[in-house]
Amino acid sequence: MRTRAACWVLVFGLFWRGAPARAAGAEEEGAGEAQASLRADTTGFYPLWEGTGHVERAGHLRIGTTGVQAGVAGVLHFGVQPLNFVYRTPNVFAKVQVLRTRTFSMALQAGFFRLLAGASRATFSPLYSTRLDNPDFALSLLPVSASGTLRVGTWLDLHQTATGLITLGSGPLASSLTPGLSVAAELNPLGRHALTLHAAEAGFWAHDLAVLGASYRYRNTWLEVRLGYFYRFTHAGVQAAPLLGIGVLL
Amino acid sequence: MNRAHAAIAAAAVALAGCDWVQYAFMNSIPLEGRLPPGAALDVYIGVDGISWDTLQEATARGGFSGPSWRAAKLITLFPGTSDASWTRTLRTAKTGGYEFEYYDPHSDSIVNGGLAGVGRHITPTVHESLSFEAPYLEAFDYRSNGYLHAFYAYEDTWTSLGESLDNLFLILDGRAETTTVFTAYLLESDVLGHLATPSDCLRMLTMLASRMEEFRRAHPDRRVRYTLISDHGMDFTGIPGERLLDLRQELPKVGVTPVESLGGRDPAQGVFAIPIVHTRVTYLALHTHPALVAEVALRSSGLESVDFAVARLSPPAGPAGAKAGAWFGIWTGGRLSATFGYDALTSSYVLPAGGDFARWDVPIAFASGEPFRLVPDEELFRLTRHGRYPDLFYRARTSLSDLSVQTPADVLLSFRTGWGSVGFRLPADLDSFSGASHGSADSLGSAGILLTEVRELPEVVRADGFLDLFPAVAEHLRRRGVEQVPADPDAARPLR
Repeated sequence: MRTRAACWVLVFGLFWRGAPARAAGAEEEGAGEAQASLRADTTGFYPLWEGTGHVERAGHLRIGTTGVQAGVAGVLHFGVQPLNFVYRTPNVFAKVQVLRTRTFSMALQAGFFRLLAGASRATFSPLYSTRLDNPDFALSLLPVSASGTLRVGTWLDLHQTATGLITLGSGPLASSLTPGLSVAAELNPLGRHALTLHAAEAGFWAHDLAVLGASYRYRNTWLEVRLGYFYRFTHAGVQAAPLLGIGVLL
Repeated sequence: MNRAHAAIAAAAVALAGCDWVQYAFMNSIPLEGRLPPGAALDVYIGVDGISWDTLQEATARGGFSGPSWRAAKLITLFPGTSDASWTRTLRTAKTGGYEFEYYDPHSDSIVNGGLAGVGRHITPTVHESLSFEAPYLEAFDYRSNGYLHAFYAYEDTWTSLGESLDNLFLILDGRAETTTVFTAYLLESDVLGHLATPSDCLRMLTMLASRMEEFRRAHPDRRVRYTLISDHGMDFTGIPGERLLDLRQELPKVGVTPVESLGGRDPAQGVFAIPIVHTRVTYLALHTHPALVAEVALRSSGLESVDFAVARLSPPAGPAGAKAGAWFGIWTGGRLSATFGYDALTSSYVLPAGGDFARWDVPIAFASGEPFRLVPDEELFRLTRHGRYPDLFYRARTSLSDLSVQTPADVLLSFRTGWGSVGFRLPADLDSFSGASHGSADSLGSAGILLTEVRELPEVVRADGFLDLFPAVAEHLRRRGVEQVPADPDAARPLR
């Protein structure tokens, strides 16, 4: 455990150490201005169950591992999850802003994921096992969610997402609808460096999954990096793994 | 760090990040299967290195004692080491040698030698095209917690075990929705055997049993049936440092020159052999010139640390020689102790009367004037299964074949209890050898476990017959796309 902890401190330290140098130019212009120009989180970090109340502004493009998405008309963005695409899961999603005030934003999102046969075994490394194994059958996922972001203060954003995940099964898998709720508390949301605490529950009365995690986020005017560690709790066991997100903001 | 190194490191992190995202995505999808209530769920768990004695202790304390359980002593191949044993038991694609380090006759060189070879045990496979793993691991639905699992298993075994059990049952919980057969592998049990104590292995088995029952209780709608299988025994002798030998230094004592290649050497000019010294085990593989096989076996069997050497022989003159196509010798104490032949047509062994079979715990007596005895494979299995060298003849014969390794040894040494071979040294405070080892052909290192709720079992099972006993596993491996190689024709003969 000592070694594991040291590894994570080292990784976080590298990001922390490198960030100020890259941001130096902007800081010379004044910290307040630099922070004000940073774009908001328009995606959640944890897949499927997390979101935020923000959408990409018109003409904005975000190319990241948590989503490649383009803003249209200031209230709408379309996109795909690029890594799922690579892993035999073509997908698409759209998100529309329905409310935006100085302290609260709300958006609705709908997506479609088609997990082709073999998607569960498409990871680069064979060292990761998944509880879904679909070597010879496909399935579709339709997550529909409502996300809200509340600006509690300049030091805290609260992101909440309520999701209904429709699974259209085939072969040995039945179709189902699973409700879920996630909360993410983003500390220092306006700054380049932020710490976010994540929690989610899927299933509720028919509990399937609970998620707890923490992540660090660095963002400047063109780059976003997120690194976190998440625990997944089911009634059969616990799984923990890191999560990495890298994006370019255009 | 130069730019190339930085680019490689960045690429590795990016690749790792990709799998982390997919891992989170796939494991966050709720699943609801269509299997009917009461459907069977057969769970096969490979517990690396759990010995027969550990299971006996567990059952004596009340574990696995319900009416559904059947237990058998599992006689694994010789040498009983993990890579070779799982490969043979599961009939997966051949490995280069018995371990990561092996001799490649095409390049006439040792592959994966030294600490670099040892390091492959914990080197993560970031991409399948750059795999450091043996093919048998593909047979398991669950086998790892991620890139650093193997490293953590050695660095903090109990924490790693907790993580593994959590992961195993989380994955099983999902898979149970869509399948009736599940295979899993636990590495930590082997690490505990090597580095800890018998009671730690017992504790591990108890923890596993507890989680198994917890899972069963949580799935009353399924008929959950477990099977545990291990790949070798554990001697728990605690080999002292002075008996942990580098055979490259020992072989010269008996006139065998250790070399690293065979090319360009004249067997008339001296006796030489390539010793494959790798992790801390109780056997040694030797490769030599065909003309020197018997001499290397004879001489190396004279080492104090060596219990016996086994190698192929030319057929002897006389009627016995004509009865079998393949012949083998067993040397001990610097002399040939016994020979035996194998007739593939009748699956029988030819035991010449001059052999000292009592030394090998084989209860066979020759009548006066009887030149040899022809003993069917299943009969010889029955005679030796409870002996000090269980199933010795089948195991010796197949260990020198290319059934599951691309390049079998020319000579195999089985060490005496309390002695071991090592190919590397660590700094002083890390170099202790406090636990157990395996690899030798005696019962301590060879007796693993087979425990099941699926079917009746004989008292003792030849590991090579596992897939014949459990054809559902063989079918599961086929469905997983795991490449399989043919078994020895006698693999399941004792089961008939």
